[in-house]
Amino acid sequence: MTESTRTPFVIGSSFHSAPLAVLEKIAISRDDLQSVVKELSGWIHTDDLAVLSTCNRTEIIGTTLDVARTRQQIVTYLNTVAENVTLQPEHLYCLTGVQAVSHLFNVVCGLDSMIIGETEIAGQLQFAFGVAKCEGLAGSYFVQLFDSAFRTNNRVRRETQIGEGTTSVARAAVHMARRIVGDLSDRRVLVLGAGETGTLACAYLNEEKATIFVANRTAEKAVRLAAEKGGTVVPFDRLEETLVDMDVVLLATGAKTPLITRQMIAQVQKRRRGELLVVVDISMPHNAEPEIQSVGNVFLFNMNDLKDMVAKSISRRAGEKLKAQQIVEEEVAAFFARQRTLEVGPIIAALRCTCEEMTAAELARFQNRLSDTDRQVFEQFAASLLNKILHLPTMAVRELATDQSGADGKATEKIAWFKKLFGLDKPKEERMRNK
Amino acid sequence: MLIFSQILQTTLPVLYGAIALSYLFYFYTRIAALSRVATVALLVTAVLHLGHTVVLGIIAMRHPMATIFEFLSFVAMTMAFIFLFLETWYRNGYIGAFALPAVFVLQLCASLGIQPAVAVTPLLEEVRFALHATAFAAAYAAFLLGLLFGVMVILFERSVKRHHFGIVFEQLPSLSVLGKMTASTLLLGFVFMSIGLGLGAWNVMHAPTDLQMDAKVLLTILVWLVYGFAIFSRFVLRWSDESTAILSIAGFALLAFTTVATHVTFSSWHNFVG
Repeated sequence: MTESTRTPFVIGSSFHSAPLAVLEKIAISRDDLQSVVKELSGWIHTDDLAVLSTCNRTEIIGTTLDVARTRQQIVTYLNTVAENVTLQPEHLYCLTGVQAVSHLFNVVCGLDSMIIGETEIAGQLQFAFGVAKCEGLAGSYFVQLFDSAFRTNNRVRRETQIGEGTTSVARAAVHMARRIVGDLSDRRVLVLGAGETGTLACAYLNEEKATIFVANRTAEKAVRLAAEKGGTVVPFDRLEETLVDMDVVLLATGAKTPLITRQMIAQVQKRRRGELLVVVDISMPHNAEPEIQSVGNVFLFNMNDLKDMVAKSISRRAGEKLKAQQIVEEEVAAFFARQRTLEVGPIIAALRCTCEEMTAAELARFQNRLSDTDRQVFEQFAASLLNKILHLPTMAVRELATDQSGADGKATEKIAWFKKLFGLDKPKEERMRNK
Repeated sequence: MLIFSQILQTTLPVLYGAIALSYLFYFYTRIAALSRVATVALLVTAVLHLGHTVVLGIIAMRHPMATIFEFLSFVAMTMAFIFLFLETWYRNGYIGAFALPAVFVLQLCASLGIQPAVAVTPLLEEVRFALHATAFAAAYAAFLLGLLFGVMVILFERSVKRHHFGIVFEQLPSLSVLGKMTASTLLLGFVFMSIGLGLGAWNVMHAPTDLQMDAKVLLTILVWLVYGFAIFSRFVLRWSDESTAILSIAGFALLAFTTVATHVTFSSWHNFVG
């Protein structure tokens, strides 16, 4: 595949275009990704191919010589995979050229995600690219494309606050605890409740390397969660004794009446000699009496606090999105400019080579009618004239290559015209035949 | 050397002012580069400040802490060094927005009044007196930082208890870290003050008897006791961060009163000028 004919593409479906039921059907698990890439490469015959599949999107990224044919092949493949669900045309998008590159850069930065600025997607894309490299489906163009994408992500993270703040209540609960007691790695955290929120909170606490204790009314659930997240089960009915040894308590139960009362906390704090205690109540209705925060060195956060924090983070990230998109645009333009720079080097060389060969051929025609001295003079004259004639077009094509405002494809189009004008789009033999 | 000293005397408040502004901008904008630049600039400025203090001593041929202005300058410089250590240790530059404006104000006041040619009491030519004054200046610097951290603890606690999670809640270090910063600066100040008092007592034993009857000495011992209690309550009784913060603020209020009272109201041989 030559530089000039390679077209990057992204074909796929995301939460923007398809309902969850469809996305679930075409989703590919991490374990199956390698075999799917291998199978797909057999269908569409390309040098570059990566498959990104998350719970919110499945996208096939690659380069092709024939966009229409590749699109048809991928649609057929996805329909085969989707089993009982028929993919409607509006469920899929097919982006090519600048649009495809721009989409890829937006995706890697989390700008196209459901939660703007999320970082997980970059890791998933890294994995997808790793699989492509493993399968030998990442040519130099593809490597440059992904390198640029990851570099753009780094720049966006460095120059904007797109990833700032927390966007889930469970993570916000852990964040609040950290704001009070600091590093959680040497802290003891009690998670009360082994439901969905409790499980999620345990996962985040695990990331923070906290020492986790789990208590639940149904002991089996607590045992299961503790085993899964590396925690210790503590009895649910001996809450007061347990609290004495804790630094943080996360309440996520469905209890209808408060489990933690002011009286209990006052007793606990007396036994703890007033050490810091953070209570994060993510239950509805509340599991902790609001009055507990009047006890010295006790800090209570409730669901409203966490929801406010999440809302603020989401709004702050939305505010940063424009700034991030601006960076993406700049990086897309820079990527195409780099590609054009790589492309014009051989064009200039070919132009000079063709002209020099033409000059040499013309001089050969008059060789018998010229003395040695005359030939030397003519050779010098021809070389000098050639340099002067080629100077302006050479400069012009170099300028086109470095023009970063040309991401819309105009510069690429002009370079194509330049090649046509000097006959550089034809094979060398044909060019020389026509001289 | 005199020109170097004069240039730095004018430049230091400007530099500290610019650094304080950088930390304030960093606090509001969270642009990490600002913090990095401010930290490097502060290190360079503090080293220049140290150079200025040494040169001042060489020019005046005495310990460079004889006047209140020189004392303030030394306190500002020590604060800058202690702050740099804490910033590096706890990896949080946001506290600079509170600490550096204080350093700037102290140095501004100091630069307005420093005069190398001022005549001082011969007491300061003795090494033990010089060390005594240096220990006290370092104690003042640590206690002033303790006061600022104490204020941060109170602000942080208030914002949490009132469920206002604004910039103070988000930018300051965690409450636990702020508590540790307050306690560690108080401990540092207490150690310096104890050394200062010890050296002072040693000086008194080798000095005329009238030195013992001084209002500043009595008030300073009272301050030392207050800070001693703050340390005891924190590290032995394990009182809360809020209590330590309140004691830190009370201790500094008494310290400030002692300093002002000694220089304005009571007569004291601790005024070394003339």
